[in-house]
Amino acid sequence: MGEFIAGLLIGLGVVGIAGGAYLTYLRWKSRTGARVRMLAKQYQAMTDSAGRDIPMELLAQPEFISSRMEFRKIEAIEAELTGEADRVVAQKLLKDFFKMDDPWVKARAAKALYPMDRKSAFAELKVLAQSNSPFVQIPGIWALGELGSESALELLMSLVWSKSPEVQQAVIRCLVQMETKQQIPPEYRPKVKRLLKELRYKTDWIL
Amino acid sequence: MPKKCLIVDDNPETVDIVSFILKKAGYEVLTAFDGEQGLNQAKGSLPDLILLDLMMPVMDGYTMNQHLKEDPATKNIPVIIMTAKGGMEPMFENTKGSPIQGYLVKPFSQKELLKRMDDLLGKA
Repeated sequence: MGEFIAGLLIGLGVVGIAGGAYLTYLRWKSRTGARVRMLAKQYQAMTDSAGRDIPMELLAQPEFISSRMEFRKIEAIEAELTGEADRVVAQKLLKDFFKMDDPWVKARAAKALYPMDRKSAFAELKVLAQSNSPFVQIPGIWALGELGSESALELLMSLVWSKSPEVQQAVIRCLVQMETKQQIPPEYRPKVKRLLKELRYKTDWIL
Repeated sequence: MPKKCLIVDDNPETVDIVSFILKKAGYEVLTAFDGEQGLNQAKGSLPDLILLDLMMPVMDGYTMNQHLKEDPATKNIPVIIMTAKGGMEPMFENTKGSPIQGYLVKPFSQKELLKRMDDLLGKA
């Protein structure tokens, strides 16, 4: 009799633990589902704005369709994880994009990371911008132009005499846009002005 | 008879260089350094084509373009926008009756400029 009661109690205990675990699983699943649905909704809402900072002529190319999906994720992280407590999560998620192959995705993630972790973001952009391939350099240059910081400006100016016309054009475009938007720090303005003047007369570019 | 081109840009160096390139290519060149000057030049000289910067003092290129299209005398003059800011083409596409014929984002090459102009003016 005693053995029967003990067995019954153990059985009930196992059922209780399993039931509790199942309920916890259902609760987690429901929360995750809601989170996924919310993010999906945000991605949908961001369709028009995703990658808005990337030059339109590049976005129009078919190979950018997959990148745009990643841009949406990055924008969702930027928009959603803004609180102090979320910053660690946001940094981790953004740094994960650095492992991807697409240099545009890396550059976009670095741009988003910059306000939270300047050192890591700039290091990633420096690697991109100083690559041997213009295909990799151009996204890095674009993001440096978006940062508009002194270190970004220094790096851009060091690349302005690149032998690749595409890279040179990208660097000049950044400098001209930074000048137009008055983003150049005052102490750098005369230097940039001189450089642009030199470029006007020494290259075939009209700027 | 050389084709007449009006350059409107607030940067004197850019105007200087583009003038040189166009003169060398056989164009007659007129210049202006803001939208208001450009509009007066366009109305007075009726050029065959206008190269127009967007960000300028006194009157910006967008406003100048609006005035051009309101005037029957200038509304059909083709305009090529030269700007530092990309992605603004839709602003002009949505403008009813806009004479915008081209959009060049700075920096662009001399070759690209001349090709665009020759295509528009049928010089080939």
